[in-house]
Amino acid sequence: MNKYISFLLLISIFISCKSTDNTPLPIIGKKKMVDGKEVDHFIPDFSYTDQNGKTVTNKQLDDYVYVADFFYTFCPTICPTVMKQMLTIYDEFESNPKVKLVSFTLDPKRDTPEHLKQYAENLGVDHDKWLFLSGEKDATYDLAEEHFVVAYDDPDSPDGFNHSGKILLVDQNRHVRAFAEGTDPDDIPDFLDDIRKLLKEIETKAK
Amino acid sequence: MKLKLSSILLLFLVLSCNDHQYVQGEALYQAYCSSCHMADGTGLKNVYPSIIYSATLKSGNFNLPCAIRYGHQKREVQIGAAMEGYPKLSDVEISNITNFIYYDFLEQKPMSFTKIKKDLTACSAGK
Repeated sequence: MNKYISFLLLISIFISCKSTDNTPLPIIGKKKMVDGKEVDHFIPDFSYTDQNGKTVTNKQLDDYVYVADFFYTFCPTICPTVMKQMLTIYDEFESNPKVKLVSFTLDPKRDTPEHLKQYAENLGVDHDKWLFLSGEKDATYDLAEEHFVVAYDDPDSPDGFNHSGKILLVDQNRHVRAFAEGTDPDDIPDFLDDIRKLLKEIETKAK
Repeated sequence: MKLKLSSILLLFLVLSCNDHQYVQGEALYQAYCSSCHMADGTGLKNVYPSIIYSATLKSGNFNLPCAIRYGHQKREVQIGAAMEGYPKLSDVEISNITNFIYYDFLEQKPMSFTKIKKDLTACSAGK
């Protein structure tokens, strides 16, 4: 009988260990063809203006893990809820210099850098930690697609366009490694774990 | 014994009703208000004001029924989406949202329907 119990205990330990396993986060997305070679999906080159008026390209983000979303400040539907989740992520990693947050606007006409700066101030966040980027609208639609976010002109929508509220985690090699549904607060704890896992992976690799 | 059982049942009924007095109000709040003011009423920092911490609402000097029906704009510089009104909601629906907010979020006494009707009349004159 005792043997039986210890066997069960062993199994339960084994199972519980498995849930905190060390398999790395996947690289999300279909492989791409570059110069005739098949490579993992990656975020293509982009160039945007942040709320400080500075140009931001992938290069500026190369040393960071970043959490991205697509939004616009006048969005009356899902954006506020997604932003609330982004704020939770911001609060969690505020003091970690390796993590940045990047919000791309889908409405550059109204979301000028000055307007985005005021928005960031109203959110009470650090301008260097959380970048609010504006650029050409069609290019942003394409970039959203590369982040697996659907964004398109939609005359039936309150502001003429529609999009999904995904929050993405991008690593230092431009790979998307995890995502959360920004409209679902229950998705966030797992996503925070994913960010920690990626940071650990990078830390281990650096050693 | 029978009496005891039915009184327990009654108590249970009263308790469960108290817990969820404004079911329609809550459903309407989640449908119309929660995307900006959040499901728990905490709002979004200085972009969309919190309801549960609102001193203005607590003071009682704010015509909430009117804000729901006709919208509300206070800022000189609009940062997020402006609060639009919901003119299609009936007096009863607005009353239920208002009381859900006062009772569940602000933990204050619900407002009488007469008072809400009066509030709504006050702003309809100016619109």
